[in-house]
Amino acid sequence: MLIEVGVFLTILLAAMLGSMIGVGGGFLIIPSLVLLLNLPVHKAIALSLLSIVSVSLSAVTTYSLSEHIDYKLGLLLETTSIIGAFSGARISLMLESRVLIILFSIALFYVSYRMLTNMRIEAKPREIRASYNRLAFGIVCAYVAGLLSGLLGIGGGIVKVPIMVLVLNVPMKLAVGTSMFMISLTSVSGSYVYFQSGVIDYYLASVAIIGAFIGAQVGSRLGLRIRGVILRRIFGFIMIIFSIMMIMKGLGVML
Amino acid sequence: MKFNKIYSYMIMLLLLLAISISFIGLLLTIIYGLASEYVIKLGVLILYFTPLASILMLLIKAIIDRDYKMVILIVVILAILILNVYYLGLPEFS
Repeated sequence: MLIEVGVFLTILLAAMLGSMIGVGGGFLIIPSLVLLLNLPVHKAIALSLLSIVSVSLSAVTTYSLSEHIDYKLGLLLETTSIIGAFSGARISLMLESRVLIILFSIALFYVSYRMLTNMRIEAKPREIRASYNRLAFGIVCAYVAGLLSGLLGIGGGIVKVPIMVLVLNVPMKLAVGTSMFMISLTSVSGSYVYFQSGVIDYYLASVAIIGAFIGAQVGSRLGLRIRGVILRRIFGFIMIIFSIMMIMKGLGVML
Repeated sequence: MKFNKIYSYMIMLLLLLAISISFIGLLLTIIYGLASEYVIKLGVLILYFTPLASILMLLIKAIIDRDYKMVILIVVILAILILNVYYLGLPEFS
């Protein structure tokens, strides 16, 4: 019972904080579950993916109402992203926990660096339409995003949004909405592999989806009242600490 | 009513349904033990079905609009999903 309460509170907080800055929260959910609750990393990834399904679907309803989803582009990129998610999840199940933790820490370190340095992505205004070559490159990158999602239990928005903005010249708001639509499909694909392999039980899964949904709803409302830049800096700092702790855990320095 | 409204309301409805059923299942499990595990399973399975339902809604819209590129894309995605689910097996529901 204690572990269920722990999972609920951890995912609720992570989803709430994630929604405040407009991310799924996978980068917070996994280290929290692994470091604070001492859950096995595969279980944490599976629970994170399920929570992301709940968070992304909740975001899709908002972006759909404001017409910030390019369904056609999203579906086109999803053709490879789904395959990536399925293969990433299967690779993850074959990998040792220690390897997975180190891989995750590297990704986490990169994301926190980006948050702290506040790197902005902007499309080049002179290029109006994406060429077929760029589209093909985007489709390949979408596969990588799906692979990372299935492998590390993240939404993959950190790859998808830059692909759409920088490679395909999609406006930022439309890219974020389309990315959320894509994440709902990618995370459900990756999550299903973990589910069928029996990594998580239904009991913890339901706790996770309820926590993620409530957290996302509260976070998206609170996020409007707090300054984004400060929040991103605090986040980046927490995630740097998490990534160092995860590397130490992966190397066996810390239990 | 515009498609985007119907689409987002339907997704929210399914999401709320999944979460409510999971919550009821959770409460029943706490009270009666493992006997109500199948209620939780139903909630989680509805959550899994929601993105699929969103694609099916887009498919209906694409057929009505005669947007054949979109129809092909959705059929390809559905084929990938079905093949993978077939390979992994359907979830046990007991």
